[in-house]
Amino acid sequence: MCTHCQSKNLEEIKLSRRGRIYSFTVVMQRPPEYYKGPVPYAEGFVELPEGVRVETLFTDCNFDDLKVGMEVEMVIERLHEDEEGNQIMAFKFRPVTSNELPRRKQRGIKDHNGQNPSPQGAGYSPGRK
Amino acid sequence: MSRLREVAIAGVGLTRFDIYDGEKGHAFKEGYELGMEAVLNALQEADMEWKHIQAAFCGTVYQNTGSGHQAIDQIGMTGIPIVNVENACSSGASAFRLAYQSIATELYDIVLAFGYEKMPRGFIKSTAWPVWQRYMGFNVQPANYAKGAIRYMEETGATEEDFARVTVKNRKNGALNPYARFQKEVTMEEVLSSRMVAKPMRLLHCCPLADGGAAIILCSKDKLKSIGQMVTVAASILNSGVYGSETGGTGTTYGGGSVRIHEDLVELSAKQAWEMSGYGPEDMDVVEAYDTMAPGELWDIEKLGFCKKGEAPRLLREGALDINGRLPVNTDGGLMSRGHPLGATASAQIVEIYKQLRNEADLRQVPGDPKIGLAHSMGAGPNSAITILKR
Repeated sequence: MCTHCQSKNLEEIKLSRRGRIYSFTVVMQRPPEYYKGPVPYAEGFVELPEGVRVETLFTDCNFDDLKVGMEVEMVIERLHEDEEGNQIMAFKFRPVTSNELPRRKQRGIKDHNGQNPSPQGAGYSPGRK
Repeated sequence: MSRLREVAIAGVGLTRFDIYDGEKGHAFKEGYELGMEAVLNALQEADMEWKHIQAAFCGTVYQNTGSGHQAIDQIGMTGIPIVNVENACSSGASAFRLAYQSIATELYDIVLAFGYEKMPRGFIKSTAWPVWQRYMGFNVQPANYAKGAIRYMEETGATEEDFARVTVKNRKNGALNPYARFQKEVTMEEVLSSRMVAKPMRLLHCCPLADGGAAIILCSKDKLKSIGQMVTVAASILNSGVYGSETGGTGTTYGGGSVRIHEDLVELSAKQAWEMSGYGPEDMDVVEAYDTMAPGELWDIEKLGFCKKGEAPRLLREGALDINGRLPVNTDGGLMSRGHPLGATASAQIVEIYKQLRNEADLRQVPGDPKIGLAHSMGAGPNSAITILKR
């Protein structure tokens, strides 16, 4: 249901995988429950061109470099492993640093989880900035 | 609104906000005992007996089923309706509003509104977030304010020093409040060197937890007994979120919701409060703003309409928000000094406005005979509650 006009006549649209950081923080203390990832961790809002703000974790970045307005792209990445050994996956955003990114990834750069970064988000095109 | 009759405050009561765990020199008290104490103090000040109370509304968050019943059971069950209100950090103000309405509409003449809490320790656990968001680590309350603070800095040029100055001012006021958990001043250096909790929020930008109770007895004017100047309710407003508010979160992040926000929750509450009371920001002599995190006080003052966006840090620097300034804010030390027993916090804000308007705030009394005051609380959900009292 649309929480603005209560219409049930909805259609799915494909959102951009790139947006800009609207705000962020670096959490230095473990949350009270549920979250099992590393601490500190960075999270915040990314504003997509469609006008939606998505709350997200940030990955593959130096926390000190995060800035409002920074261009970021979505990746799917491990959040944590559950008790049965299942890999729980989640969307995260990482800075779009340069067109070098695809090659860096091929060299096996690890993210702050010590995981291999996921295949980069669809929609990434080397010519776009 | 003209059909509502005027409602007066008959009396208020507090316990000291503190830690009541029986350890390290602290007394041990159950939560419901704190609620009971606050109610008995209010009864005494109102010069009323328990049998006069016709209904009771109790705000708590973590006290399990029948929180109001637990406290009132210590005083005596008299067959009156007791209704328990859980509205996160605005619970006390929400209970107050129900009590106010039930007298204004002539259902009852004398009603109790109170709030209490014995807090769990550590980061506040909140079930207000969907589980998947908790798995993602989005449920850290200081982090929500941190995101708001980063945004606020970006848009207004405010600095970490501006935030620290809120703590310093409020802890200075709290040092004059015998009911505050912290009655000791802190310096800018102490705030800015305290450990980082969620960048840019440091430990001393966060209000401390506390246990405590706060009670207010309301009545129709003809039932007033206590001596001293009459204080009445000019407005009692509650808004629970608008389109674009974060779901679950506090709604206090500075414009940071899941979509672009069309209307700000606090601005909406303020608009309704001015409408209901007939007053404007320029009429307020004393204010309790919501300082659960230091920067919150700054954008609260702006959104309530006391100054333009981005101007609050300058007002603070110039001393305008001090007890003897032209807009005294959080004269009792705010959440920053009182501490934050969730259900009692919004009640305690109303208690402080009442005391100020009656010139009963002792060392922290606002000079110049204040006549009108406003209390604003926020809370997860989100909620935003404004109470305006006048003499």
